Amino acid sequence: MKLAILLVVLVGCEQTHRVSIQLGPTPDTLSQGFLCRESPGGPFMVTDALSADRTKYEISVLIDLVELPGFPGCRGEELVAACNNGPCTIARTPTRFCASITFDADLVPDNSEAVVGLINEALAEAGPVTRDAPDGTVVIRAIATAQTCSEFEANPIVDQLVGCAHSCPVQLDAVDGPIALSLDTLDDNCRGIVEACARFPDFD
Amino acid sequence: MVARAFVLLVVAACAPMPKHPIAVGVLFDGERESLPSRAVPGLELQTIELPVPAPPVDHVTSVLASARSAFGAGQSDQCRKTLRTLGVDQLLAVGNRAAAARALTLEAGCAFLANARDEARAIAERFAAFGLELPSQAVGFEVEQMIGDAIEAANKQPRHPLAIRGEAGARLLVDGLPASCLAPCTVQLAPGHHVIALEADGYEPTSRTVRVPDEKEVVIDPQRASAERAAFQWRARVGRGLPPTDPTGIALLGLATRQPRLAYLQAGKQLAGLLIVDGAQRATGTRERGGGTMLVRELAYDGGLLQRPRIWQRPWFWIAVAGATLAVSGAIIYVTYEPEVRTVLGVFR
Repeated sequence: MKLAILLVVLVGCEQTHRVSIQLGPTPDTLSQGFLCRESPGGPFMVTDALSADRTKYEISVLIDLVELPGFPGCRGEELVAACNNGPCTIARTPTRFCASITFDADLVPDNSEAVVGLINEALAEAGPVTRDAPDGTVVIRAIATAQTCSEFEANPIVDQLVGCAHSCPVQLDAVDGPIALSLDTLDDNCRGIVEACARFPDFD
Repeated sequence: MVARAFVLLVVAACAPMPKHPIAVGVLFDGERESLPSRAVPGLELQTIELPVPAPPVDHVTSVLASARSAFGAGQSDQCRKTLRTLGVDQLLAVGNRAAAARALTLEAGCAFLANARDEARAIAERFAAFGLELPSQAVGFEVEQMIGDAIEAANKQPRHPLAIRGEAGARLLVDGLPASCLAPCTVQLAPGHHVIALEADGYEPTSRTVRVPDEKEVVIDPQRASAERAAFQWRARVGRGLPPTDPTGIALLGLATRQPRLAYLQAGKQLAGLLIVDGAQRATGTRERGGGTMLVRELAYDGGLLQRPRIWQRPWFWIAVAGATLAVSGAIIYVTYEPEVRTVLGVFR
């Protein structure tokens, strides 16, 4: 009898696995994807998120899971090839994760650690991106925009983008440790790459 | 009790059963246990008791007293009529020599009183031939003198052989006295009538009256004992310290119970059992007290009444197989099972 109960428990058992997201290479830094300039030497894209009185930054962060066929490499061309060979879709988990973040403008740029802390705190407060990630290969993609969550969901405006970063393809059930998001760029003149990141998996 | 009942039920469901339940009598010696008739599947059990014979009615004493009274009153005809209701030969057959002596003495006295001297003399000779002793109660000097003369004459007579044939080893009574031999044998007797009685366990006591030397051989062929007689003989043997279930005891139990199949259960420190089939021992066994049902079942198996179930017909075999299968399956599942992984993704504090 005890053995039967044990078997039933085993069969009905599920392992819960937690994977955390880092918006940069370390827990207290941001990816270059969120520190891009509008143009060479121009203002940072994040300035689009300044409030009217320029005392606060008001940003919305959307985090998506993009499902990919197979298990491609991390390079952009490999992601493009994978999505050309099979469907790449944004997983509805069930709703799109979006969190609104506000922080004082005078924290930037000298107190960037505090800003990162505020952003992480706000994202943690918003709850998990998903409680049951897809079993297959996914790319985690985070978009920062000056639009509110509802505005971006209704009508995303490219000019309002603040930043974007993504992970390499992963199978989340097999991952141990945090997943760091990044943007593959060699300098801060990366608006175009940010836009491409935000459009992914659409390439047009 | 519930576990035993369950086991018996499962065994009954698994093991081959006879078409009709086999009737078995159960005789308890000592403390009885509750044993329902269908306690053992395949058997119809019936708890039985040994018959108890009715207490004998002693009419000898009253007859002798009545005859004595008639003799004392001078009523010779009444005396002789009363005494004729007694069978002197039957009294001698059961060893009641004293009553036989009193009866013959009174009969001789009553005949003498009726002036039937020849008859009285014949009675005296019969008395002497039986080797009886004069009773203390007087019946008159002449009669006692007559009887004494007959005894003296009989003692002078040569003895003649009488061959007694009967059940081998049976006990013999000659004129109410134990013979010096067991049947078959030859005894030396004085001329005249003699009562030869034979007693054997398993048989009704039987007697014959013979006249020596006219008859040189007597064959006594007793009848099988009745149930009451067999029960009496069995109890008498046990009372004499003989084993209750030796071959003679077993045969007597069979006669006493009239059961072709009998389970004899004796309660002591343990419960000892014996299965008797057609008067012969088939199986023995012991169990702890309270295990009557299981003991009867084992006796039935060992005695061939029921077929002992094969190993695959036993419930414990399948319980063991199921347990082993469950254990192996559990081990395989435990080793190979990979539970579903549910990943929670987010920014955590």
